[in-house]
Amino acid sequence: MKKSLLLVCLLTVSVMISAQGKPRFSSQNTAGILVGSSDNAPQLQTINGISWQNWFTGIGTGIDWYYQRSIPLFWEVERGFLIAPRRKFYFSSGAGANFPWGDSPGYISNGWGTAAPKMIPGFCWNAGLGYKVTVGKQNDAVLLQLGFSNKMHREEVTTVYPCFNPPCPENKASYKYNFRALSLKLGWGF
Amino acid sequence: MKKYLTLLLFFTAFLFQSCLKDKILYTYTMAIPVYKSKTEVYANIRSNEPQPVQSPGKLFIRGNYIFLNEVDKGVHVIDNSNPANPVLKAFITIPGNLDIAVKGNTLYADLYTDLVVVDITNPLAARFEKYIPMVFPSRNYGGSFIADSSRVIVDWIRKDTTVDYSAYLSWEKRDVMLYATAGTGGMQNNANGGSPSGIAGSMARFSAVDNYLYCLNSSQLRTYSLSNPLDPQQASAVNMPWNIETLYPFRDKLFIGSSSGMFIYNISNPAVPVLEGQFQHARSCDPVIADGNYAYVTLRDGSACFGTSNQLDVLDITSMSSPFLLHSYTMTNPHGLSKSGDLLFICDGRDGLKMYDAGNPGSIVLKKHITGLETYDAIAWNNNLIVVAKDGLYQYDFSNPSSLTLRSKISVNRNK
Repeated sequence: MKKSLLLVCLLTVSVMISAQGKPRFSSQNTAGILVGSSDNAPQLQTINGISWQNWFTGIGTGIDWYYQRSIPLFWEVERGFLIAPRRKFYFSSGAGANFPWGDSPGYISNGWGTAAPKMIPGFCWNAGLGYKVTVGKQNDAVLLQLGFSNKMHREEVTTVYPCFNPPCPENKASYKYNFRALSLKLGWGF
Repeated sequence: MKKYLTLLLFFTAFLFQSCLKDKILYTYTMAIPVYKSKTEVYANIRSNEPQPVQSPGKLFIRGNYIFLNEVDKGVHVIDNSNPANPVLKAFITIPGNLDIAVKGNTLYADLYTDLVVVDITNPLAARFEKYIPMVFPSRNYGGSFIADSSRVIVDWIRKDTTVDYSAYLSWEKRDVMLYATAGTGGMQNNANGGSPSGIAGSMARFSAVDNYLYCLNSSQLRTYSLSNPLDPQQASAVNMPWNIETLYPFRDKLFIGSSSGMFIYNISNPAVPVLEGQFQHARSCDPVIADGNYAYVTLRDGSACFGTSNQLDVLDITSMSSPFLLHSYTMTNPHGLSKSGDLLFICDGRDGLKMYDAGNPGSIVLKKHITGLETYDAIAWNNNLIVVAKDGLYQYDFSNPSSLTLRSKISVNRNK
């Protein structure tokens, strides 16, 4: 899996570099909302990489507050289609890892026992359609993007139930989270 | 332009389908009881083939033998003639067992709510003598589980079960984590004490002293006459505050730890214990031992006692009728404790084992701290410290008071 991903990355970059024109550093910084069946939550993202002609690829991260706060780290690829001077639609897609950002309390002692939760990162991906309007003389642009976001992670909890004398009974449980949301982002790119 | 609009249409249609539904899968372990008839269970209370230690509980030393409770399963008989090489010799199968006490050639053990009497004249050929029903009524199962009382639960079959937890998403939104909130079923009790017949740990809930057996229920102290050790007869029952936990005999007194304080009962008349003194403390579990003019009480949180304190209290018991606090020492999660001469050993839960110089009880000094093990209870005797930990039974040599040298370890083996 890792090898395939690396191969796709290398191929994309090499195609871009071998093509005509000069790749340049490009950055996209957006804020937005996520709307799903269980929550509406904000998100912040920054994707930095290289852009060439109608292609853009980069590494993205940010904060996703949907249901359980997490930090996605992903590789993003975009393909733009010029529809008018200084305006283009673009398709974007990204995939990577989702790192839950909980206030892990380690041992929780609540008088009724001790729970030790452990968050385990999972997979995340997104796909979307954007609209880009170039402003000013440079490459500055306003970005608007509608998309789909899917993040996953796991939580393993070991609960030690109260007893007068140890060893007290333990219970192990796990939660597998799979969150899907509509994503609307607005931002600035260059 | 038309091409792009068509694409946009398809894309939007995709987004608004049911693919926006969140999903949580919850995997938990379901336990199903395995029953046996009482006749079968009593017939099997004898020395069987040795079993691996899987969940060590309380312990009792008698001569060269260690009797180690296997939680809810029975008692390991360990030949400890050579502490550097203890040998598992037999296993006395007693379902629901948590506590043990020994008087002469008789082993007393709880079997859920009942007290069973086992002849251990030859520990390797132990045999069941009798049972006394409902000595520990609090060992009934609680919560929503109702056991079949005509039979005995001898084991549990555990199965991982996965269910869709998504229905709880709307009201269990949390930025932190979800964790299991199931009840405890029944709370565990436990037992033990010190007697001429052997040595018990500080977490004991019953203990034989001379010709009497003292048993703690959660709110009662019951006394049984052992005129005939194989046929205990109830002599008295004294009501006590709720949540009494541990019992430690010292001289003609019983030191009883409860979640709200320590009680001292006078057993000059052994058939009818009488309250002589008490010391109130913050709500916590509190094993207690006594030595000379001082009692040592550990308070811990994270237990059935609801408390939040984690400390060692040293009490002056020069006057048994009015003990007072001499000094408190901060601990991590202290459980059982033991004392030999000036050395005080404290099982500090997940913070390991601590050895103090308690020559001056008002100012004890940490001499040795062993980490990396989760300790529950200890017995110090004859320069040998026996420690029950989550991962096994340890033995340390403390003949040199400035060090603890590991002699042996019987490791927990949960795979067998």
